[in-house]
Amino acid sequence: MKPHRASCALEVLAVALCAAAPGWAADACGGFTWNVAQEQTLFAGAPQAGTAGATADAAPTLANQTLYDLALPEQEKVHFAAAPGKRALSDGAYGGIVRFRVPADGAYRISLDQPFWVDVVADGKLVPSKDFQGRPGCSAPHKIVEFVLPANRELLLQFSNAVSPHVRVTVTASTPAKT
Amino acid sequence: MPALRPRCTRAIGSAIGLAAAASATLGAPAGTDAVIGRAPFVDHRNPPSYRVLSESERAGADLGHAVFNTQWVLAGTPRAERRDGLGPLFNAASCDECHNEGAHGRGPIGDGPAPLALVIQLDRPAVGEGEPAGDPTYGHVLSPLAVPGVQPEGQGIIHFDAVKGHYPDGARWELRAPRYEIAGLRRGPLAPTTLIRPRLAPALFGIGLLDAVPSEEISKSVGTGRPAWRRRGTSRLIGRFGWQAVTVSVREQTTRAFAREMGITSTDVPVDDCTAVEADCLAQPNGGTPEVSPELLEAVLAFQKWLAVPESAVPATGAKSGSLFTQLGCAGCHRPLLNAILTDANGRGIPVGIAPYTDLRVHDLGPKLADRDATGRALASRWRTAPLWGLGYRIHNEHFPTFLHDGRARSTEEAILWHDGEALAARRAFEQLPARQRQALLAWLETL
Repeated sequence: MKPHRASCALEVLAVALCAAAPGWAADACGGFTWNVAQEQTLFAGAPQAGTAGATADAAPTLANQTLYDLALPEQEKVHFAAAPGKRALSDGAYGGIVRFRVPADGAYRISLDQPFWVDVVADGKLVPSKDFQGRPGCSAPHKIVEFVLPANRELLLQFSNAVSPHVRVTVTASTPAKT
Repeated sequence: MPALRPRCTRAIGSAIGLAAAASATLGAPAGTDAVIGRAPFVDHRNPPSYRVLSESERAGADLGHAVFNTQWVLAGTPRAERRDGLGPLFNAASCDECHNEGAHGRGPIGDGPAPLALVIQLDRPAVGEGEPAGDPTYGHVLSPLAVPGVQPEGQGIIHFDAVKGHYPDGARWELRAPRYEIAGLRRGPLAPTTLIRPRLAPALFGIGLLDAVPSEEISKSVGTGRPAWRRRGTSRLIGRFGWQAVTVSVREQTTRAFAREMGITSTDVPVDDCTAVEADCLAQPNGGTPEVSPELLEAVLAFQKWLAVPESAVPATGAKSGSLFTQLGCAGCHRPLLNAILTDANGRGIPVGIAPYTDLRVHDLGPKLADRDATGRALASRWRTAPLWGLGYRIHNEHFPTFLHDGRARSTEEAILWHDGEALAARRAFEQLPARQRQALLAWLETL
């Protein structure tokens, strides 16, 4: 047992360190079993900066196939359109809401660099996810959640439960599985 | 031994919540009132309890559910005092990452890094009934992840070799035999005697009921195998959790997993898996003493305690195939019914029957399933009979269900074909069946 408690909460510089992703083995991003080439390509590029909303009304609209780096408010200040689908302690968490649309009915992926819980909300209700993948030591991306979404409807994307004040995110059409 | 799948009560009432007793006509063990434990899983994110909970029980279970799902974060994270202290070395940041809402972990799809839910345990052979020591350098569990400032210990890599064969009737089968490589060991090799034990996170459904099986029910002589006696201080207890029944209670299993797989200390396990030579690990700050508070630990135990076993979407028909399960000898170890003693609000013991399809005993299943040490030498391994309840739910709800302790089997058929040792006769009997009967038995397993 270590004898002392962390004190990095006291210093701004240390906050960034405390919120940083953990370390990992060198090939951490190599274990996806889906074809994630388009997501990895997007995450290798420069993101567009933005700020997620604390309410649905304040939520900015994201374009598909684009990498964003969103600043997030503290989660206790966020009024979600629907309660997050994962029951969890959210102490210290950041959250937020953005909008997006998809051009055709089908499967789409939400990809993130941080372990946020994500929900897609349509007409005030959570859209169940179809599947997910993640690589715990990887941040480019860290996690991908797949949803089957309706075309040309306004959809909300909600982030919750992670302790990073920023998230990098993309919305992409799903590509066929690896063969 | 009853041949048919016992039907289970859903509605629960009276003192401990038992109602609509299944009765002896449904195969409940002598002296018990009901066979319980199953419930329909309507929403997998909200796994039901096996009985109606009181308001206070529900509050505890709900809090525990939240703790179970919670991502633990680095020590000292602002505003996160209830959930900080992850690591310094770890495999996952939450219980839920490996047991998604209590479900079985995702096994390996093919060659490559071990999936998140496949933990590489590193124990040295135990002496008698004592606790095994971990590897002197890397501890009890290989940690592929670490907090900033600490090097991860290494990464398990799986390589599969095809093993082909055929049934006596000529039908062909193919298994995949795993080889494990431990890559990137940061402090040199493992001790030669260290056993490399890949262990896939099992489903947690029904574990509170398995915890309620009296020791006598496990120790009394039925069929083969033996109870997994474990020494705990001056007590001798039966291990019943983990693939080899290494832990004696849900509490012990949970607190060990907190400490060794997430680096979260508790009142029961106040140290994590840093060894004496891992100075960078030992030097890291912690998230409190202990890191998971007693209140949150009790809550997560309560959440698990009440978890029901999912009913299968496949109707429980095929009585003949159920009889076959018994005739082949499967039911000798995968016992369809066990007695359990639940406790009511007044502390009274209420006998019930459960249908876990396990004897909670350990069996030698032959050298092909045995763990190997760091030199590649196979050591005789005894496995707890895996509970089969919830099998139908797994098969019909998981994207790529895998079976056995390391997920090497891609189907129940493959799992049967890996059986050897004490289970050799049953496997041979399965192989001798006409193809249609083999398929009927496999289809019947999906009703469990």
